[in-house]
Amino acid sequence: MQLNSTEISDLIKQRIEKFEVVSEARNEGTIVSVTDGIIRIHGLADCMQGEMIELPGNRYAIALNLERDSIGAVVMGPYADLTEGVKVYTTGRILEVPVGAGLLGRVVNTLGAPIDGKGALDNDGFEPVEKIAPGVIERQSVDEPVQTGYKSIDAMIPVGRGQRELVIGDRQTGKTALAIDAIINQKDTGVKCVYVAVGQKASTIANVVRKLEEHGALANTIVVVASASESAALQYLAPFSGCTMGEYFRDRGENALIVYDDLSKQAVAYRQISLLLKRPPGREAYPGDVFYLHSRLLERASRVNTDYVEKFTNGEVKGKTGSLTALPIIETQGGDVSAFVPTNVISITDGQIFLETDLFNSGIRPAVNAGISVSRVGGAAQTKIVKKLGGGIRLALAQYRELAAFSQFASDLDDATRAQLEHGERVTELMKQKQYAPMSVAEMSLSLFAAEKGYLQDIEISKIMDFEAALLSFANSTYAELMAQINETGNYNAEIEAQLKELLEKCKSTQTW
Amino acid sequence: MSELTTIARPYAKAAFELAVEKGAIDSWNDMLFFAGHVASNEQASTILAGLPTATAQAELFINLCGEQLNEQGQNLVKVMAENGRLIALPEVAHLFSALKADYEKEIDIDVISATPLAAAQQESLVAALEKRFARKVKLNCSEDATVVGGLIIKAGDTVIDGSLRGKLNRLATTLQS
Repeated sequence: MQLNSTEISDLIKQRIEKFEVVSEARNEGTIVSVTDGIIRIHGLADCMQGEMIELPGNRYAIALNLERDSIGAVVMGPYADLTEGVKVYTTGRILEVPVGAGLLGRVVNTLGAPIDGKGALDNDGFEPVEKIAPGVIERQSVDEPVQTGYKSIDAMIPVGRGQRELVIGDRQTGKTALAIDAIINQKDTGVKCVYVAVGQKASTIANVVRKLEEHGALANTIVVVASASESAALQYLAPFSGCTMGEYFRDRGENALIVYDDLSKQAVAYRQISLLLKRPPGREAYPGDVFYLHSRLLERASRVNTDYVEKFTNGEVKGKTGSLTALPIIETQGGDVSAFVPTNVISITDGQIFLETDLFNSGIRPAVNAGISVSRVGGAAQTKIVKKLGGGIRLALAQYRELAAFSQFASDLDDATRAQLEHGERVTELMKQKQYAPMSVAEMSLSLFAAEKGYLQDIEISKIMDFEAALLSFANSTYAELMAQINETGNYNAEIEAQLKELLEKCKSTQTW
Repeated sequence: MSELTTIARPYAKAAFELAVEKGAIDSWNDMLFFAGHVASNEQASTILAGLPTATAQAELFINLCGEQLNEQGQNLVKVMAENGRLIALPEVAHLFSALKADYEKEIDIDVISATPLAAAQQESLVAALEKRFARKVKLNCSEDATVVGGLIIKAGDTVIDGSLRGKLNRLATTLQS
């Protein structure tokens, strides 16, 4: 027989010392039915909505339906051994998860228990999973950027700290890849990340964790996992757990980024629970409160002002704002964005990034459709230099798309139209970017500067990517000071413009690609 | 079980209000207790289920009870038969006695202990519980050796587990978590 890690005499001694033997009056109930993870309980007259109910074997259920003579509750974890007649008790608590900086670098489940085999968590207390979002007085407008590292997104659809930006697209269009790259790009920025995986294959999650580790981003990331094999209750609650872990940083004047991958699967899990609880089904069989499910979750992603942070930390942290940026992911079926859950989440968020199968297959990766992707608040948060140089990109792409459709029927085009078409093609090519290769602000600015000022006109379209690679390596080696300056300040002025011009001219005259 | 309670509640409430008005709580209690036993009798319920109409069911049921039901009691049976709810009669009787206990400020409390309680112990327990629940307490004592030591007190849904077994279980949970 082997002893396990919790069986150290000191630990046992501590636990016995802390153990309270006070017998308190508790509410008792009896299970009357067990159906697919939903238990119906007779008794428990004092039970509260959302309260944790204690089941035998150190398990819990959450009370979701309070009826006159019975309670509908959903079991968190295995339920096969529960039978009619089993006694259950109220706890007087709602579901809480561990929070704290000690969770960074860890993989946990919905209940906050570590599942990465790295031992016990070093947490800073527990917080309830359901919390009310900060009110109007406590908020501040979004004016700092979250750099995703993708030039197409940071230039055209910028995301600000505290914003909710939806990532939407069919399966296999690079939604997760985009979110993971955004997380990787935060590794040196001090932005803490939370990645919530709902209803995914365990192998996919293992891959994501490995990639984060390889790129050194796991150390400031918490991964919350409710894989496809876990109960619907855990899948439905995982985003709320992750949000609570992210709010810990927001409330202490830090910046955090949370990715919900994905909310359509969470809605499906919630639909299963609701139908089993006999709540009336509505459109697409979703319950009536599926909108509220997502709105209350996403409302918690916000930027809070210094007063809020100061008050929350009892004056320990002064003069700092906190933010929680959310990147919810929604998977559409056959490009149908007018389905129930996609329309709901589109209307809740502050903008969306549309990824399209056609673009993906024609080699444009990230497959962002610039025409219908928007960011409603990010413009105010964009870095000055990217805003200045990237302004024309969106317009160029829009005009190109319109002209490209017409020019298919036209045999000869006037020079102006041809020039515009060619420019559009080059910009489209330039917007392509490999996975796991996020760019810094300076690198992005340099590429955008080249496109904006016409330095790409004499470069073959198929060579654009090579030219860009050569340009960036030349800049990073020869003009490291300028690059560092741009990265630091993000400013754009005549002096920087002159230096960028000089850089490009030198590069074109000395480098090969 | 919970569904039957829901069905039985309005009947029990109606019967109780009538009984209070007429000042006949005890006789109603006896009547419902008897009718409840008849309804839960296996033989009776099989025969009742085989009858085609509600009137026939009510008639047979009233005949079965004989003198035990007064006119109003018979009316209750007729109404319940009409709605196909005779099966809920035992639950009606149960709820009625709960309403009666509440009305008379009484409470039934189950006490489970490992060894039989001495009279003095019972007395002090009753005194303590009467203070806590502000009701007249009726103790139902029972023994269960698996409790090991201490007491488990059950009043409706409320459970006060002061048993050694409960403490050991909680210690086990704390150590394992």
